[in-house]
Amino acid sequence: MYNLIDISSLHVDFHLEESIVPAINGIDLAVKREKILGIVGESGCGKSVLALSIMGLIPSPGKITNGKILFNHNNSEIDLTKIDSNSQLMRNIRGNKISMIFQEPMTSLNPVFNIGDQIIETIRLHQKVNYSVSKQRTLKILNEVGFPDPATRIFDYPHQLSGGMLQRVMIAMALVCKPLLLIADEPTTALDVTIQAQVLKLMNEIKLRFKTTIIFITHDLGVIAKMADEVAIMYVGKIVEHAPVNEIFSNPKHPYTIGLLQSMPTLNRQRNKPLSTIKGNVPNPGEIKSGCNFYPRCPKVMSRCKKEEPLLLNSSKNQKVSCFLYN
Amino acid sequence: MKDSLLKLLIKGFLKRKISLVGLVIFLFFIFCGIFGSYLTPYDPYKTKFSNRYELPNNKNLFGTDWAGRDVLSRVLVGAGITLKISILALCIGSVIGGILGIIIGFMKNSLLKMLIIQINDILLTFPFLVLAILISALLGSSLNNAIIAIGISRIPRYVRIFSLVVNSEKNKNYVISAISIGASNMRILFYHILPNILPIFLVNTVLFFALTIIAEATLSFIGIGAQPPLPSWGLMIRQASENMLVYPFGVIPPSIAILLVVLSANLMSDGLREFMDPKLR
Repeated sequence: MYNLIDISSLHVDFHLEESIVPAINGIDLAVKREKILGIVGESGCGKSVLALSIMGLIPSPGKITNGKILFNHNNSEIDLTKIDSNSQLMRNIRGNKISMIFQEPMTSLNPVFNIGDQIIETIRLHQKVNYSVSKQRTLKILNEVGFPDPATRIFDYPHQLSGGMLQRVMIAMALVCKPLLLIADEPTTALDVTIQAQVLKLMNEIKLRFKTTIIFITHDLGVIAKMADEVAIMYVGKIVEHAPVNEIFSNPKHPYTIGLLQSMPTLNRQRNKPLSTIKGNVPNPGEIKSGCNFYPRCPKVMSRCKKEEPLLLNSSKNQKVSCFLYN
Repeated sequence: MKDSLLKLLIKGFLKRKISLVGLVIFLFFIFCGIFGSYLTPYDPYKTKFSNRYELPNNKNLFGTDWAGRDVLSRVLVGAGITLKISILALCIGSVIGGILGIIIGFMKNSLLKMLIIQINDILLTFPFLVLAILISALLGSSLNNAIIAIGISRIPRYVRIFSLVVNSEKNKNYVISAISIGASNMRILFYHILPNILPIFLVNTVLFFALTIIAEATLSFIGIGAQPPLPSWGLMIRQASENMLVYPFGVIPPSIAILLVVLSANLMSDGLREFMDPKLR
């Protein structure tokens, strides 16, 4: 089966007054149909920019300077980077074929409109149906995402609902047109743990029921272990390792992945032993002029790492890693 | 369940009784503005010098002015003039200025946008009245030209306020999520952003409403607004204040009329705010 999204050598630059910041610096990524792809990385390594560039929503002064994002559907390929982001074609894709869930459900809904009308708006932007039909569909989708008592609460305003409820509304809004791809940008970060678990369970159900492909962005490896089929680890605008989820957890290759996994606190850890960390901070994009972006923090740094940039290559059949230790 | 907008509007007003009072006064003012010239007990322009400076009595409820004209009749007809001034000046100033402002605010950062904002800032450095006097002097002195001048000279302020408000609003999460469901630019601007900035628009417009009446009085005073004997409220106060030592009561009826109208607009705007903000409903 062919891939739903094929990203090749994508570059996104932010043109600031004094410098150009390469937020995404050459990403090749394939998103398989009906799978959940997890994208993991520390804050500021370009996860959200990657998601926004698929949606054509990169905030100014950011620009896609190179590369392709091919979106395959109906046996035709559309290059999303070539479409004007305000064009009719792009608007038909957004919310209809590709939709997105944002990090903060509390601020992502319009405060002056009730939630029902906002979901109905999504339907009516994309489908020629009348108000009562779209209201029926809204009730149905709210029911399916586990929104309690939708019939009486459909016309509640965002401020009347809790964060978990709002995230369900956001999910309902994203799913109501049965999109092929759902991009979830840290959908559980702003929620408390019990609600997180509910939302994650819901998203797993959605994948099965709606046959939706999901790109799941997070910095929580625990969530990834539970959700993803494949994982891409990002570091400073690049993918450093891409593998099926069990490979990542049982056989991590890249020193950054190993570091991330080791920094995860576990319940059976020795109490007096300090939590292991990755030394240093994420450098700003473009700060490291030559070599591998990770070499200043890498425990296994070699002299070659400071001069050359490693490529993302297969280390085994379905595991890709960009490190000189393996290729 | 979902309430219709009208029902919510009525609810908003009923919740704040004082706004209801404002609404009643305001509607009465509009009624007088439209039908005032049919309700007058006397001809507002007819002078009678044997009858000057009368205090309120059975024949002249609000007394008479320096030329012996009936003040009640003049105030009633003046309501129509004030209504005309405020509606036209608000249309020019608030509506055009507001629409220009939100469109400029929504524009992407570019040289053109910077240029427009800079020119607007230069216009903003002129004091409101100086600009109004300048424009009405260019147009020639009449009431209509004064109204246009008042409206135009308010535009830079609106452009400034609303370009800034929309500029900050357009980067909010709800706008980004509206783009992500496939809404067009026009839809985002006028359907999603506009209701969120309407309270700011309302407050500014009510403030401008009061300012319009006062500005018209000022322009009339220096001779480029309403021309005597037109019974504009501002002109009436000016003329009465010249004779204040002889007849102090003269300034009171038109002043109270202005006070009540401005107050009612303020009270009404509170009720409207209640209606527009879902958190207060």
